[in-house]
Amino acid sequence: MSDYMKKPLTADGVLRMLDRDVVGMPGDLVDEELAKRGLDPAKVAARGRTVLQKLAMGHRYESMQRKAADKKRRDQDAKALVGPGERREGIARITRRIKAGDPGFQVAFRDRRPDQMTEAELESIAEDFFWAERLLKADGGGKD
Amino acid sequence: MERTRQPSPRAAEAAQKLADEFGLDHQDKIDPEQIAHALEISIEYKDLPGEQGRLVRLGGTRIVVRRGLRPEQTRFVIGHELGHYRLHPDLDQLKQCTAGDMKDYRLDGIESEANRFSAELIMPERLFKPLCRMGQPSLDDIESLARAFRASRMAAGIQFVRFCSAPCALVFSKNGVVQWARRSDHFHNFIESGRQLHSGEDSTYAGDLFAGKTIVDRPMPVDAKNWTGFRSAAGTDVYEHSRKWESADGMCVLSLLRDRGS
Repeated sequence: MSDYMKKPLTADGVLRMLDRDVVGMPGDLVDEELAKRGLDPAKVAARGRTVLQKLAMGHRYESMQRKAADKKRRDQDAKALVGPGERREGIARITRRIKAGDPGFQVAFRDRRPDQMTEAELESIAEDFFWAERLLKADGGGKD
Repeated sequence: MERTRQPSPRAAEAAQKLADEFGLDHQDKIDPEQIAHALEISIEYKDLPGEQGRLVRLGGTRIVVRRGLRPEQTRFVIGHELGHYRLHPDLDQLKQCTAGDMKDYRLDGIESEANRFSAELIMPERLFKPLCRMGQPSLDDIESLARAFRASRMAAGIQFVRFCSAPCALVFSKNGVVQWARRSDHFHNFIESGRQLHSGEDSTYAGDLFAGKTIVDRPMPVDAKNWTGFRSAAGTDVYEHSRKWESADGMCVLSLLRDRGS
């Protein structure tokens, strides 16, 4: 990676880059990035726009990697806090509610109803609901 | 045989938007599991008899993937469930997806849309299409693209036929019978699902593979009539490149056909 790619993306930095003879990637995210920095896309040369786009893409990818690592770590921490008893009880509670047709647990059952499924199949579904609930709680709740 | 039509524009646009959100400008950056985590979606692997994946959307969203799938299948399944997540907010709170759902490429229906989304996410047009400009394609090209994008041969083949500049068709056959075929816009011949492939008289190389014969592993001319069954196609050659593999439910052959002129 060239030096200019490692520097923070500031309006001043962008303006300096516009004068450089560099080759970037084609793309369509540039106007948005320029507007964020108070620059008029119509006045920016194509060469500078492609550089800026490449920088923006790199920043977004790094941000995705950070978010993904955070989520994975939070999931692992939250799962480690759940004891086997709590898990068993949670699955049993949700299995009962699915069997009772509770609208709080809607499942696309394909061609079978809950009463036509084996206990193991229902428990497998209930377990996924259980962890979805539990991990939501660990994340602070409310986000979908 | 289905013409390889444009995928659901909605699915393709949604996949493109997601790739842009995360700056995925190279195939090496495309990791559906990481994308899911960055969207605050948990991923779990477990035994799921009869299913490939599930999307649970009760509060904290969760994708459950069948344990033991090949890496490229896992990527496709996660991409498929991400497609449901982004495109179908009104689904039931738990959606089960089977192997059959993952092969649904019809023009409508939510499974088809989720597949289009997954294909576009893993093999985005802007990265994939520029690599499909060879004039005389073979299965080697498809396999090389499948490796580069960490996709299955079939998923890469379907995407390839959409974007390849040469008129061609991808045909999947099982136990001697054509299961499905996809053709590019300018491929002239029509190959019907359910067609029996022959060895000997009216033979195709795929038919020879099903008959246990050894064939040349490169594109070879064959009478188009033997693939289409139409007498009007007699005397018109197409190039056929076929390879076989054994699956749990029988012998499969993937064939790439292209017009002789290309």
